[in-house]
Amino acid sequence: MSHEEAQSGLVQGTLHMLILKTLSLEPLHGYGIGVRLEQISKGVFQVNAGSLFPALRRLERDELIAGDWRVTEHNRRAKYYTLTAQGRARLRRETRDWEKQTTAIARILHASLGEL
Amino acid sequence: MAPLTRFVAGLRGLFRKTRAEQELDAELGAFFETAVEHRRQAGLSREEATRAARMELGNAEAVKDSVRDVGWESAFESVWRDLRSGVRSLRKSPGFTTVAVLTLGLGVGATTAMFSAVNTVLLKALPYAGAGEIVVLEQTDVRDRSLRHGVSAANMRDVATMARTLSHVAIAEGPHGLRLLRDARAESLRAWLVSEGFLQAMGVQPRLGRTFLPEEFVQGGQGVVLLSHRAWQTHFGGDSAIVGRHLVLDGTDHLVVGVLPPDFKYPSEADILAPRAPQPSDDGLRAGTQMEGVARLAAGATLAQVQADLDRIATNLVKVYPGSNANTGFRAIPLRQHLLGDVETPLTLLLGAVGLVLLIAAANVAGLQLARGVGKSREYALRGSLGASSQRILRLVFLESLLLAGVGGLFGIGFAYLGVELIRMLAPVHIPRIDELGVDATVLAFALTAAIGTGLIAGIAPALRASTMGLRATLFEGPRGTTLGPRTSGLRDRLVVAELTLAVVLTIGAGLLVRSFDRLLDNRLGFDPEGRLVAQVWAYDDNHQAQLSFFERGLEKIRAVPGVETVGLTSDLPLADGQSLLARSNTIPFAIDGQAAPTPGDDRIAGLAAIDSSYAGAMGIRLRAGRDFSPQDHARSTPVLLVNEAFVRRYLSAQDAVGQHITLRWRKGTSREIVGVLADVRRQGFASEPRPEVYVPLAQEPFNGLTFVVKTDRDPAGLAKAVQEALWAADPHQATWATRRLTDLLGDWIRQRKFNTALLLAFAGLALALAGIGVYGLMSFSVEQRAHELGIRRALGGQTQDILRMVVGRAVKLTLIGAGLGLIGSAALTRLLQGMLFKINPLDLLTFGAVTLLVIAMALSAAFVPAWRATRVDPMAVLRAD
Repeated sequence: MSHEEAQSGLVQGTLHMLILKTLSLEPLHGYGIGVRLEQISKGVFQVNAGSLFPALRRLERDELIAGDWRVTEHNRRAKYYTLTAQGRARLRRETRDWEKQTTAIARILHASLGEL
Repeated sequence: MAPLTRFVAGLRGLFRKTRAEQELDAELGAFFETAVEHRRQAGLSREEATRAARMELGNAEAVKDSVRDVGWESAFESVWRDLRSGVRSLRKSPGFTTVAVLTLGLGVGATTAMFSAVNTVLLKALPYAGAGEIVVLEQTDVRDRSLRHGVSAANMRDVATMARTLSHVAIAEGPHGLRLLRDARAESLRAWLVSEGFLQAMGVQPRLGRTFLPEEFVQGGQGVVLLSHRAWQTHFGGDSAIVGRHLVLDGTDHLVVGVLPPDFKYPSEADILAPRAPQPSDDGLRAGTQMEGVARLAAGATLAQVQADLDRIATNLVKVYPGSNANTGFRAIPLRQHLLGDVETPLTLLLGAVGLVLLIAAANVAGLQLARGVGKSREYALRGSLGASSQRILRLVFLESLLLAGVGGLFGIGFAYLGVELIRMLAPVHIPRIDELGVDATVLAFALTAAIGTGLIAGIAPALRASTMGLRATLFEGPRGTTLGPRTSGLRDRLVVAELTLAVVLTIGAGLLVRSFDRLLDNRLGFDPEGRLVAQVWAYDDNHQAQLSFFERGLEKIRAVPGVETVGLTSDLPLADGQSLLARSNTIPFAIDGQAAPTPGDDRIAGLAAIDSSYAGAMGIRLRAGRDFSPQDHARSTPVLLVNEAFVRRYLSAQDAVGQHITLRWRKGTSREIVGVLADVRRQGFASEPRPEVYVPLAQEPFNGLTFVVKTDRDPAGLAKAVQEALWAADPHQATWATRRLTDLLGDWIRQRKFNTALLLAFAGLALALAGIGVYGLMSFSVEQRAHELGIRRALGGQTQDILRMVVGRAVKLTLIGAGLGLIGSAALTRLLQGMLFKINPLDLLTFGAVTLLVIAMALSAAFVPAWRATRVDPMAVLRAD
């Protein structure tokens, strides 16, 4: 998993969370997820197929997302992924953990002697 | 993330692979098309959009691979996939596959068959409780430890009381011929009398009934016997009601108290065990006799401690009994060593030889795979360029080797069954426990290990090549592989050289054995084994006079049988083996009258045989001087003696033997006059050296166990029945043992030698054939590879001769290197064979030369077909193919 994230310039362990977040907004197909991540991150994260599909496969295997085939806006068939209830719960937990951690890390990084 | 969910998903993935694959394809397709669409909307041209989308997707195969690698199932999956691809690719080249599978099958089969023999004879535990603690005791001569005798009851009794490191010291006396009288017919049984503690020493429990009770080891009580499993089966049909029944053995009533287990086979060939009570006459006999001593090591005692203990006891006994025990020592030999005798070395050697065959097989398969690998390397390069990791390619190569090994192993097990049958057929009866030979779980496990090991070894070279040979190298090698790079051909050349080297070593080993066998058969035995029937008889009557008259009548009756020319009697038949009652011969000390007492170091021992006046004639033993015995040498005439030439050479050098007097330190110790000298006899077969021997007239020294030697002009086997009838006519209560052709006895002996020779020869042939296949494979492959070059050469006017010279030249070069290395290896290794060679130098020039020529001829003929094919290359076809 780590080399997939390294390729995308992602912090370790975050690709799954970001995919879950993207899907919590609306169901998307693989390409759509990549585009959405790039859009939202303003081009910071570029997730290629080599990273995206294994991650999707893992999430699907762990039943955090579910895929079904639908017709795209361009009138093609594509596999759309939806968040499952389990996935939603996982996203909530991971968001909470992440926020807790980032706040703590930020505090440490900005710490000055006076605050101690 | 519940493990169960994962597991189920994984399983599902495995079973629904094709659907999942299709879905993945469709998903990636959708990704690609959406990407193109997306770019076009951004205003790119179709071509630009497609290129950009392709870059975004990256390597689709690699993406698929990494998706497949998700989760535990992928490990199984990809192995399974590779395995199937391996099967496919093997099926695509049936020629290669057949040769490789057969090669491996033969290698594994031969090794497994040999291993099963070694396993049965050498490795399997003896079927006795705590067998490692059982020792066999022997009496030796302290001046020459190689002289081995049986023990005496009196000495063993003393050892039992004095030993600190041994428990359960016991003796077994025999074999005695016992006659079982049933339905007025005599059947013969071999009995051993065992002292108290013998069965405990051997750690054996009866299968039926009970063991002997302490009160049964006294004289004059009810006779009791234990039956061997074999005697129980052959004489009593395995009747379980046998325990408690009474048998009349030699006219005395005996109660059967039990049956021994089937794997109890010591002392060898015992049909019956009976208790041996201590006897008053034991005390007078301390010299070596026909008894076997056994004992168990006391807890914690080592063999060295036991030997030291025995040496101490022997020294003490010499002080107490200076007369009978002078120079008497004792020796403890582990039971295993005693039973195996000298079969360990040949068997280990054969296993080593067959290991070499397996190595050759591995080298051969590796070579074949390398040859094919050139074609396959393009496939690997392609796979590599499509994103397969080098690890993956390695796995593919090894899987293919293992696949070959697996199939080869199956064939090998088939061949092993055949091989075991072959060994059984060839095996001399002397190899202990060979009748237990078979393919069992251990042997199958060995075959499997050998097959997998060979597969892995054979896979190393191709795998190394597949992984080190970069992509570029292959892709730039040209549209059709022209001449190979030096690296590949070097490796293949080395493999073929290694095969040739091993084949030369094996063949020289086999050659030496064959030559030595030849030399052996050139040795004169000193008697004529052809046209002789031998039959052993054990006179049951204790009365010497009655014995003599029975044997006289027997001689008369047999002489009257049509076809019989002469018939003689002896107490000690040459070539007699473990099968016979009279296997052990007497060696006795003696003194030459009128000469000074022997000095220390001069042992003055001779073999002793009691014969009748027609024995020498019946055996075809020539008289060298003086006269033979005659009917006038009877019990009341002058005590006389015959000696052999070896006796004269050793003890009576430069003297006229006839007329000398000799006193045998045996029985009454009568002084006897030498009346004649008989030719030397190689008693133990062609390889044995004649030993000094004395012959006494039967009439003057009666024996109750004797062998009739019947000389006939017909097939001796046809007389067996008539001889038996004749003896029954002399006494219906007398049974004969081991009625056989004398050549059969010789045959057993020859078979023993032939066994080693034939097996080694078979392995050498196999090695040569495999090396030949190796050379053939290398040459045909290189011709095929160079078809392009050869075509051009021919187009440019190259002569057939030149092309032949070029192709054959390489084969010759490799063969010479292989033969050279083989000769060096043989020179170093044949010393190991020394013990099995007879009058042949381990560096025998003829063998070395002949084998070298043979290997060169073999390699050249193997190279000829490909070379000939090279001259037929059609230049036009080759050039057009580009």
